[in-house]
Amino acid sequence: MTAEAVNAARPFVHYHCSCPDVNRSLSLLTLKENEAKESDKKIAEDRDDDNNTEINKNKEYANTTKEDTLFPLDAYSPRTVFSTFALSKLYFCEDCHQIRCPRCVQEEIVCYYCPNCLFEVPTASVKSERNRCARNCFQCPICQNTLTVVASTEPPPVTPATAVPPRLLPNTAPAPPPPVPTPQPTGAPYFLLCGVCRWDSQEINMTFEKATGLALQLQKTEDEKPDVKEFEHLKEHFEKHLRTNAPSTTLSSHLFLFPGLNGFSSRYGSSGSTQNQPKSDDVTPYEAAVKVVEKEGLVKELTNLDNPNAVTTLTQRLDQLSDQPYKVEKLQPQRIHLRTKRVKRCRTCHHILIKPEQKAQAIKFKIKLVALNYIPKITIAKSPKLTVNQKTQVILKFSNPLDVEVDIKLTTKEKDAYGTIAIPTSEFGISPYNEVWEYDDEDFGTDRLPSRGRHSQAAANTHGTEGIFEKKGSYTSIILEVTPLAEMEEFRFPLLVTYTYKATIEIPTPDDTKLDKSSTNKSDNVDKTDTGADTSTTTAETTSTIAPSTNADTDNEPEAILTKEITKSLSFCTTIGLGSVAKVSPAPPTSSSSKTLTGVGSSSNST
Amino acid sequence: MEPQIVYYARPEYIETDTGNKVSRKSVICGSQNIILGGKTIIQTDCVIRGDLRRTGVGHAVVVAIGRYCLLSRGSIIRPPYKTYKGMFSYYPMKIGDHVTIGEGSIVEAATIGSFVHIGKNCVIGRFAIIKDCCRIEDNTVIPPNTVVPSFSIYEGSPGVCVDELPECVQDLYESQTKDFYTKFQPSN
Repeated sequence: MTAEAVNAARPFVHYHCSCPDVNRSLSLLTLKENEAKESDKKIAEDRDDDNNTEINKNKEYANTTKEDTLFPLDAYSPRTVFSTFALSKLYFCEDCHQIRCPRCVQEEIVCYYCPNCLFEVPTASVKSERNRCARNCFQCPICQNTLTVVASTEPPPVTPATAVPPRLLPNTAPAPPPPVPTPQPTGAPYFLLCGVCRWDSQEINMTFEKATGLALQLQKTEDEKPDVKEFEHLKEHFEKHLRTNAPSTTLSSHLFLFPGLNGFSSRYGSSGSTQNQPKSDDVTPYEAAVKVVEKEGLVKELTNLDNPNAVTTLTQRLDQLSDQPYKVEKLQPQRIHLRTKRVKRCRTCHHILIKPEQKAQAIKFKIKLVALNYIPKITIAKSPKLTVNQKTQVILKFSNPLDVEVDIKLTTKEKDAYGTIAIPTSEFGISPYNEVWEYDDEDFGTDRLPSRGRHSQAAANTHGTEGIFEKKGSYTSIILEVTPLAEMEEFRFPLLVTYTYKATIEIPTPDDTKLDKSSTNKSDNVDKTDTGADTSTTTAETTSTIAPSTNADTDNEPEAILTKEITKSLSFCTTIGLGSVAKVSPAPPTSSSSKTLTGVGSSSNST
Repeated sequence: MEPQIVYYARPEYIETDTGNKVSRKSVICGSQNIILGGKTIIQTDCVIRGDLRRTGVGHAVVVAIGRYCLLSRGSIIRPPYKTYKGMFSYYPMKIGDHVTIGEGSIVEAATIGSFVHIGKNCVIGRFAIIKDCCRIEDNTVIPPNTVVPSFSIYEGSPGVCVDELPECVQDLYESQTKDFYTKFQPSN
């Protein structure tokens, strides 16, 4: 691959998450910007006029223009980077029927494990082990790579010159084979060796008698470190106050009565006069247990340094937080930090979106609500190089992950300062996802039979329809016509996608109005563009937008379960980047004709 | 960006019953010790050293590669070796399903799990263990004996964990490798 190709920005489709907090500030900002500019931009979509005004009515920012509600994000603003994500990073909350991004989920730790030995650490002992692996895992103080345990007396002569000294497993110590004379069958002392930078712990006189439980062997020295001692002392000092004050103040909600802060509140003259004030004032002044004397010669030594490598780097220093030494020989191997597995919840409704399996090595999830399985996936199927003032056809492929047919409606800013975008077919359908077709897909390029005539249209290429490039399997590809107006590094445009599908829901009992209503709300909620304060719109109208196709078929199960077909829809914003725009090429004008696409197989490639 | 169809010259590749596509321009040593799971593509100039097997033992699997794997141009698969109790020996290597190994990468790992993406020009050190669902970025050097836990992205030299992968990475890599296989087509 050429360097040019590497440097060029890759085309992308990023999805916008309407986190409530970000969104509010965003729409306010766009509103202000618009007021300042007094620009009278036309709204792209006229036909859903009624629908949009309804939304606006319910919005807090009722006076925002329609464009603001549709496009809260400016594709070129650097701010959008923080609110748009690749589809794979997003979650989908079924209960809220909303996209959730990594910023609007709550995390809870379910399991701690060491990333090196993959040993699960029980939550109870995580604290006492200071969030680090308490077994044999250390990281190199120089290069932060994992260290290996090496026996110093294991003879290396048999090893070829290229091989490193053998790494021994704990149980391999006894009795090496006869050909080599071995002075000590135990292999002790052991030391730590870095496979990358060749640092070994003998440099700092650190050796071990046994190859197992190294952390335990080091614990004694670790406990004697000044910072550890000091922390223990601090804890000891305040713990007794916490304990004596806790029972009397647990019921109080006043900030200064927070247990442990009692002493401070009285000492530093806060207003709160409480019954337990006299008792709480007995916090004795704290005296440090350890006094570390700063070496006076350090500054002088550092100024007279000849070799810059004799001073630790910032990374090395920050890895050894306890004393942050400047001298390389003071660096010590550190135990490896633990990693976590986390449950992710929706911040709004607290339902679990991601629930991993408890085991450290398992990659399965008990609950996995990722956006990939709910939202139409948009990929750029074909994007030729863009040139200023030249109309170029871009193909977007929409794939449907749901097992029902989905109707898509697209809206975009038709014209802005950077270019114009035309969507010949802004409304189209995508056939449901079907695993059988996935298998068919493997016979790529060969003609496929329509699968039992269910969606005969689905299998056929519908070149006849203008704007639809291809409709096949569970995806539809459409054509966009893009004309950039200026030369730039990255051409981007926003695209509002509304997808609608019919879902069948179950209603347990007809008189259970609460559930009925909530489901109605749900469908109603999603009918709005989720770009604004859509949560506030949900309660406003409960009747208008639910599907007219509400039909309860009572025939099958006369007793309890009624099914009801409702129309669900969701709008989401995306930013699409198409790469750089080149200047007008001196090539003859016929070059534009070569850019029109002819078919699937026509993609030119080198082989 | 949708991947394009990759065409190859039909006479260059051997297609097995299970759908493996192996380039004739690759160097496969000790093929009786190599297992391909099916629908795995081995591209031009790859080297797989199945002949570097354990000393003393008779027939043994040296390199086991799962389904829907891709060994890109110029990648080298070599079983790891070490001297254990004074005996120099090679050890078998196992690669899971849906594994992509980028162009020019050298792999001497002990195990590579499933759903792993290894970028271009990487070096995976001896006895490295790469668990399921991992991503090694381009030009990364994974030192010997390193363990790469699931859902991590490693980058740099020596490779360090820089980020976590999203939860749906399994589906993502599965569809990517399948997509690549279906789009890897003979040109005539």
